[in-house]
Parts: sequence; structure tokens; C-alpha cells
Amino acid sequence: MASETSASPLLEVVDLYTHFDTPRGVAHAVDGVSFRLERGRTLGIVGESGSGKSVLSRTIIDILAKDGSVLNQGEVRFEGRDLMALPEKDMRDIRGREIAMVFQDPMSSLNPVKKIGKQITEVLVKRLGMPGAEAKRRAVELIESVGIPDAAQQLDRFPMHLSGGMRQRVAIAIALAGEPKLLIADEPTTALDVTIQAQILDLLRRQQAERNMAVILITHDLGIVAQYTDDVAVMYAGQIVESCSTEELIRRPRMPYTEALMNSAPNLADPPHTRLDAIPGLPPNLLRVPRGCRFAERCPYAAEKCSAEMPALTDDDDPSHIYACWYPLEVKEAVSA
Amino acid sequence: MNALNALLSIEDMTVEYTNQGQRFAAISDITIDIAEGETLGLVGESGCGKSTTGRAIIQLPAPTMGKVTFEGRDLSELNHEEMRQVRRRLQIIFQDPVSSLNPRRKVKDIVAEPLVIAGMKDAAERERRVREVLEAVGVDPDTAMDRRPHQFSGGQCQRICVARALIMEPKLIVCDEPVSALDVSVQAQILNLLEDMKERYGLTLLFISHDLAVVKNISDRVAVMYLGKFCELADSARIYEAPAHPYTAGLMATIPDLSTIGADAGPALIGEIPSPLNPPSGCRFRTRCPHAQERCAAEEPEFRQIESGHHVACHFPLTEQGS
Amino acid sequence: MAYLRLKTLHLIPVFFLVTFASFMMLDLLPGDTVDAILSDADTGEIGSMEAREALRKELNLDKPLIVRYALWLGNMVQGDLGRSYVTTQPVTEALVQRIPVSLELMIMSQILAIAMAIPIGIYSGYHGGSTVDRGISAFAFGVLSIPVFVAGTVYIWIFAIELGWLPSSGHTDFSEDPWGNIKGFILPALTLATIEFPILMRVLRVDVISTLQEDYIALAKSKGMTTWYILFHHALRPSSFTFVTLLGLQIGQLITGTVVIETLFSIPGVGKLLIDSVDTRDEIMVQGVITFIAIVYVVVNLLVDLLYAVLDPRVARRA
Ligand SMILES: Nc1ncnc2c1ncn2[C@@H]1O[C@H](COP(=O)(O)OP(=O)(O)OP(=O)(O)O)[C@@H](O)[C@H]1O
Ligand SMILES: Nc1ncnc2c1ncn2[C@@H]1O[C@H](COP(=O)(O)OP(=O)(O)O)[C@@H](O)[C@H]1O
Ligand code: SF4
Ligand code: SF4
Ligand SMILES: [Mg+2]
Ligand SMILES: [Mg+2]
Repeated sequence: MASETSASPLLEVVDLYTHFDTPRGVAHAVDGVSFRLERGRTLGIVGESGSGKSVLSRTIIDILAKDGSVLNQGEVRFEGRDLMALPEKDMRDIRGREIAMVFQDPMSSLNPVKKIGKQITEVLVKRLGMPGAEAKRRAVELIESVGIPDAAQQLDRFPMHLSGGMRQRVAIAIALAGEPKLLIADEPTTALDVTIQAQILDLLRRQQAERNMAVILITHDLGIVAQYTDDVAVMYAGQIVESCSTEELIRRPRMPYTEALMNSAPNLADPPHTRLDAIPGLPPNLLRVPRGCRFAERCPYAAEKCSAEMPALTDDDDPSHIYACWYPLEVKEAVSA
Repeated sequence: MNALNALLSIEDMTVEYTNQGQRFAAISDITIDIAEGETLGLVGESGCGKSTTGRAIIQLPAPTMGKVTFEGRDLSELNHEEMRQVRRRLQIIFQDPVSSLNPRRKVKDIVAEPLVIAGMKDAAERERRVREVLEAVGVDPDTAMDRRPHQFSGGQCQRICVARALIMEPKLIVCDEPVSALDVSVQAQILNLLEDMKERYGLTLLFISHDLAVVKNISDRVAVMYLGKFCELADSARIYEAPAHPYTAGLMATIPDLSTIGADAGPALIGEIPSPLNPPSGCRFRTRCPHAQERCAAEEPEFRQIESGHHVACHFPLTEQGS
Repeated sequence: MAYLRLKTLHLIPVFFLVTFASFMMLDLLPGDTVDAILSDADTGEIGSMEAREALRKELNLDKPLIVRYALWLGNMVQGDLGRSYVTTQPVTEALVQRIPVSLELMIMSQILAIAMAIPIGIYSGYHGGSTVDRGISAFAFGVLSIPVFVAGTVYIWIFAIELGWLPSSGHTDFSEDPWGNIKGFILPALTLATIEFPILMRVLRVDVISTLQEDYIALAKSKGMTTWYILFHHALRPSSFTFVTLLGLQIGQLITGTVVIETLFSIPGVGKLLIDSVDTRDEIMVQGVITFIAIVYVVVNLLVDLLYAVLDPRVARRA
């Protein structure tokens, strides 16, 4: 086991599918996703809303409903073990201890009727088997470590007594309680102000460095990806369409969707009233995904082949930079030149 | 300021609310003119009073103190009927497009509603106008008119909201975070749409957002708000080139953008916005200001002009520190 | 707790309305109290004119309704509900004897109803839409349509007559024979619980289903908590608002049920006292019982409000 662990990456997702059986048809929320994440690294997953980011993260930690409406396939290998094949009891041991999660909206992700202290200590007591008094002491330390003042007094307060930023700090303290090797943060700052966003992301980065955790940082903001991640995967309509190191993505995007995402956000450096390159139209309906490239309908470079045949993930000479496009950006430029 | 061709002027406007039995000012002594045809951006953190300002302008509710003059008329002096007439030319668009549309009504009825309220009886004429605005905002009238809001995406719902605001041919639209609930790609569509509509209908906009990059893109001038007061006001380009207030500078430093790969952006603003129930003495920003000095706690800085068109409320503006 | 004070103020008029309305209704009832008291059951004689007048005066029955109500109210505030016209026992004494009996019945039935409703409601909610859930729902609707005396009779037939496990009627004092006392209450309490739990279960099920969609449930799952722990420690409390409201609202139904059940099982509780007193036109006793019931109603509703604040700290703050 030990040798296997050291050889394999911390997390390796292989050809993962999560479909939802809904009354109106089958929704292809996650459709053949593969990626790997090494220990201590930060992977950004970026995409528009509805592209499958949350479903992907909930599939990895296996907290989607188990009522038969969720159809799963593929492998989620964590330290070499396939989590998808794990019985629920063993999977519970992974959650909180090995993989923890922070959700988008701290207003709704903390239980409104439970005291902050209890929400932290229950991980320590139930999962680490700590005695109550020790768990309390540890909870105070955790609250301090996420930068909340008067830590001891906070234990007896309810989430409603805290601001959004403070609640997200509590949520991070909860996630850190089990000393996980992997933290999945699903848009942890989307519901917060920019100033608080910076504080929370800095906190995450500091904790990660101290604990040598791996982090999956899910966001729809490429600016956050640029500043806080090592590697990045761009998701579109349930699939990863481009993946490489963050620097490479910002410098040399190959997939037209990535470029479009970058151009559609207003840039502080541009003068006022600069016309934005909006992406026309909407992402495809996941109940009826197109046969070819899923971006074809909105892609300025689309050609006939694009809607006929789905491009597979490929690389040029650098296998760490993969993309799914028939006419990747530079190649296209060469053609039109 | 430029009172000559001001479409809207606000003088010493204060709005008070009661919270847990305590009365407090959500905004205090706001003074500003909005010139005809301009877009004024209003930025600040959550709870600083942006929406309160927007709503007080359209008198929903009317400000506790101060004067709002629109097209030369003091709104507080208008009677109910006169206010109704004025309100047609003063429209508002909200942040959450989906919940601001009645889910049970058809799009054509939602968009036509202001006309009905205004007493337009001719159904054929109403339909013609509805088609015209829907086309203008990029929604196909033939497929959309008979559908209900839930059958549309957030971006399309926001287009319908814009159409509803436009149908009365308003002079001024207060846009309260109209793109905050939208994805970047759709956000760009709506921002472009607002620019187009402004051109086409000669609109004046008050554009509220917490996103500086968005505000800079769409506005001619930008007002930065902190804890119920303006702390800086300047031309859009100017405020980004040379922010004078430490808060503005802090806000700008926290925006993650593509150019800062892996690097630490400037120092994040420490702490959180204090409660408006008991704002700090002196300068309201001093509890978070990296440049705060003794004088800042003792004396409230005046909102003064430091250069033509550039106003700031700070004892030690960054532009005067020669750094 | 300014919130609770406000609630109490709301309930005071309710109390007056109920007691006054019952006064009026008793007055409108056909027949005459004096006749009922003086007439000899065997001979049908109704006593002399003088005796009748004297009694009428003594009972204040010659005064107008509103005056009698005021007099009664004055005494009631001092804890005096009058004496029975029939047995001359003080009303308070009769109540004090019977309240523990009825209270035991009601509390036992509520405990049983809650004990059935919570696990079944949570299970149904957790497996919302499954075959088991639909089966439970169908069963609950079936039970809901059974009148209380039918349910009681069926239980008597099964457990008392066929199986002979439990007594079909009567009451033993707790001090004499604790187990006998409890045995006597099992069937009546079960009957009351049977008719009450389906609705409780249904509302809990609906609220559990919506609570389980919340992000904080996903967070609890991602902490590695067991399903059982999540359901009972994270989902139950936020899901029990309607449940608790309903418990309060159903108090009326519970009281009616208790009256029927005490009669059916011959249990000497307040309900039986009420029926007996109505039979003998013992107006003052009936009035006393109704007053007591009104007080119970008011107190239970206060408790429910108090419970809201306990269940969700946000309620106390909002108020
Ligand atoms: N109806 C009200 N009653 C009491 N307080 C209110 C009311 N409306 C707003 N407030 C308070 O007034 C202050 C300003 O609120 P406002 O909604 O204007 O902020 P905002 O800048 O629009 O924030 P956001 O970015 O969150 O929309 C806040 O402290 C808020 O809690
Ligand atoms: N429980 C569910 N049942 C059916 N469809 C779902 C469910 N959860 C998510 N989806 C769908 O899956 C797609 C991806 O959703 P999500 O992962 O939440 O997107 P995001 O990238 O914004 O996090 C969306 O189309 C969403 O509607
Ligand atoms: S495959 Fe074609 S449609 Fe898809 S992104 Fe590439 S160029 Fe555009
Ligand atoms: S007045 Fe003082 S505290 Fe306020 S912004 Fe200026 S330097 Fe900072
Ligand atoms: Mg999501
Ligand atoms: Mg607002």
C-alpha cells in the first residue's frame, strides 16, 4: 500500500460521468471528466454556472442523493483507492478526514439552529474520537487560526450572529478540523464582497501552505484562478475542455472557449466604455447535448466539422497542456494568416 | 457640481431606518448631480447604502431628509398623481432578474404592465410597443411573448427587465446590481445591451455594483461609498489611474485579475465594514485604513474637491502624498 | 422575552371569549337548572314554588347573564369555581381529583403520537418518493379517516377481548398499583395517538424533504457524519416547525378526543366529568370544566411559542 500511495497522485479522476435522471430526460451534468491532482497543489476548476462544477465536487466526495436519480460511472482514485467502489461506511471515513469541503454560500451551509462550537466539535468528537473538553480547546484554536477574534466566545454563538465573511471562516475551520489532505472549495467567495473575498482566499492559501493540503478551488472567475491556483481545468457543459498549468492557460489558451471567457470579463486596464466581447447565446441544454463540440453554437471559429464530430482532448508536444478543439487558437491563426 | 444640465440633483440626502429599536442613518448627507446622458457608477461593499440611495431617488421610500430634484422639480413636493407621472421617467432594474418578474404572468403582460398602469387602453398599440422593446433588448417577441419567466435563463430575464423599464421611455434608470447574479459571459451581454440602449434612447443611468471592473467599464463618473457616505467621486478613468482615497485604492488592490498570476495582489483590506448603528468617530474608514492617524479619529474629513471634478473625503489623500 | 409577553396578551381575550361564550350557551340550553336540581328523579315532582325561588336566589339565577358572569369571574380569579349544584362538591376539588387522570392520558397519548410520528416521518422524508414512502402515505391517509370511537372499539376488541392483554375499561390509582394504572391507560392513549400521528407524520415528512436539500445537510455529509446522526441531529430540529405548530393546533382535537375516549373506556377524567355534568345539567360544574379546558388551551399555545424560540434561535431574535 505504502509504495502504491507514493507512486500515485493524491487524487486521480478517470472518465467520470454523473447523469441525473429527471422527468424531462437525462441531464449530462458531468460527462467524462478526467484529471489528476498532486499532494499540496491547488487545482482551479473554472466554468460558467451550470457547467457541472458543483456536481463534480459532490461526486468526488460522494454526497449526491442516493435515490436512484443519480447515475454514476468512472473512477475517483484517492491515494490509489477507487472511492466509487468503496462501501458507504468506508467512504464516510474518507469524508471530513481525508477530503473536506467548503460550500458557496456560508449563509446556508452552516446549520442555523446549531451553535458554531458544536458544528466544529462534532467533527473532532465523532470523527477523531476526541474527548469533549479537548475538542472544545481544539475548536477555539481552529477559530483563532481562521482569523476570528474572541475565539472562545464564538463557540456559543449561532451563525446568524456572524457576518458572511465570518461564517465562511467558520466553514473553513470546520473543514480544517479533520486535517484533510484535500480541501474542495466550491465557489467559496462568490457570495462575498471583493474585500472579504481577498481575505478568505488568502486565508485558504495560508492554511494550505501550513498543512501541505491539496486544494480544488472551484470558481467562475478567471482572475481568482490566475492569482490562487497552480493548475487549472476549464469546464464547459459537463466536460473539461482545456487543462494545463495556470500560467500556461493565461499566456497561451488554445481552446476558443477559454479565450472567450477571458475576453468577456471587463478589464480594469481598459478605458471606460470599451465594448466587451460577450459570448453570444447560452451554454447547451444538458438534456440534449450536441453531438459535436459543445461550444460550436457560440464559437466564432466553428466550422462544419465542429458540430459533426466531438473533438477529443489532445496535446501538441506538451502533454501537460491538453485541450478539446479541432481548430485550436494558434493553429487557426496560422491558417488565416 | 455641474448644476447647469443636471437631470437629477440630490442635496444632503439622508435615509434613516430603525433596527432593533435603534434609529440609524443608512446613508447620510449625500449630495450629487447626475447630468443628462451620463452614467454614474456607485460602488461599495455590501450594506454600505448603495441600494438605499437608489431607492431613495425614486422615492421608495422617500428620504428622511434632503432634497431630490428631477427635471427641475423637487420630488418631495409632488402630490400622488404628479409623482406617478414622474415615476414613468424614473425606472429601476434589480439584481435578481428572475425573482423580480412575476412567475405567473406572461412576458408580454409583464412588459406591458407599466403601459396598463399608465392608462393606455389600446391593446394593439400596447402589443406593438412590447414587440418593439423586446426586439430592442434582443429577445425574439414571437417566441417569448406568450411564455413565462421561468422558461428563460437569468440573462434573458434581465433583458426582459430592461425591456419593462424601457417601455415607458424613461429618462433615468437606476440599475441596482443588474449583472451581479449573472455569469461573466452573460454579464458582458447585458452590459453591452445597457450601453446600446443608452445610445438608442438617450438614457441617463445610475449604475450600482460592487464590482469595480464592471463599474469602470460602463460609467463616466464613479462614486465610491463607505458606510453611508461618499468617500470619493471622480471621472471613471481618473479614479482608476489616481485613486485618492485609501479605501478606493484598497478596493482596487483586491480585485483579482489575469495579470497577477500567482502573485500576491496588494495588501487585502483588513477587517470588515463596521455596523452603521454606531459608525467610528471621525473618518468612518479609519478602523481599516492603513494610513490612519490621530487626526482621523478626532475630525471627520470633509468631502472636498482636490482637483476639478475629483472629490475625496480624506485628510491625507493618496494623490497628495507624492508616493 | 417581550415576545412571550405579547403572546400572552393575545391569549387573554381568547380566554374571556371562551368562558363567556360557554356561559351564554349553557344559559340557552333547554330546561331549567332549578328544575333539574329539585325534581325528584323517581316521582317527577318539582318542589314548591318557595323552595324554587329561594334556590334561584341562592344560585343568583335571578340576575342577568352578564352579572352572573361577572360574579363568577370574580370568584374564579380567587380560585373559587363554585360548588356543584348536584353533589355540592366544590368544582375545584372535583377538578383537582380528575385533572391528573386526564393529564396522564393526554400526555401519554402525545408521547405515543410523537414517538410514532417522528421516526416514521423522518424515514418517509429521507426515502421521499420511494415505494415504502408511498405505502406509508397511503396507510396514513387510511388511518386518518377512522373516527376515534371506531379506533377505540377495534383496539378493545383486539387487545382486551381477543388477546386479553389489557383491560377494556376502568381506572386504577397510580398509588395503589402503578403497573395497573399504566396498563389501563395504554389502550385509550394508543387510540388517541392513532388518530393524531398521521397528520403529524405527514407534515414532518414534507419538512424533512425540504430540509435535506439544504446546503448544511450537504456540509454535514461532507464531514462524514452518519445518516442517522444527520437526520436526528441536523435535520430534525429545523424540520419541526410545522410539526410543533400542529401539536398546538391539535390540542382542540385532542381535548374532544379525550372526552370521547374517557367515556368509551370509563376513565374518571375531566372529560367524563364534563359529560356527566352536562347530563345532570350541573351548570356550574360544566362551566368549571370549560374554564379549565380554556386554560389548558392557552397554556399549550404559549408552550408552543416558547418551543419555537428553543427550536430556532432566529425566532427569538426576530421578535
Ligand atoms: N428596510 C430596512 N430596515 C432597516 N435597515 C435597513 C433596511 N434596508 C436596508 N437597511 C440597512 O441599511 C444599510 C444599507 O443597506 P443597503 O441595502 O442600501 O446596502 P447596499 O449597499 O445596497 O448593500 P448590498 O451590496 O448588500 O446590496 C444596511 O446596514 C442595511 O442593513
Ligand atoms: N439533483 C439534480 N438533478 C438534476 N439536475 C441537476 C441536479 N443537480 C445539478 N443538476 C444539473 O447539473 C448541471 C450542473 O450543475 P452544477 O454542477 O451545480 O453547476 P455549477 O458548474 O454551476 O456548479 C446543471 O445543469 C444542473 O441543473
Ligand atoms: S472544436 Fe470548433 S467549435 Fe469547438 S471550440 Fe474548437 S473551433 Fe470552436
Ligand atoms: S481620513 Fe484618515 S482614516 Fe480616513 S481615509 Fe483618510 S487617512 Fe484614512
Ligand atoms: Mg455551483
Ligand atoms: Mg443592494
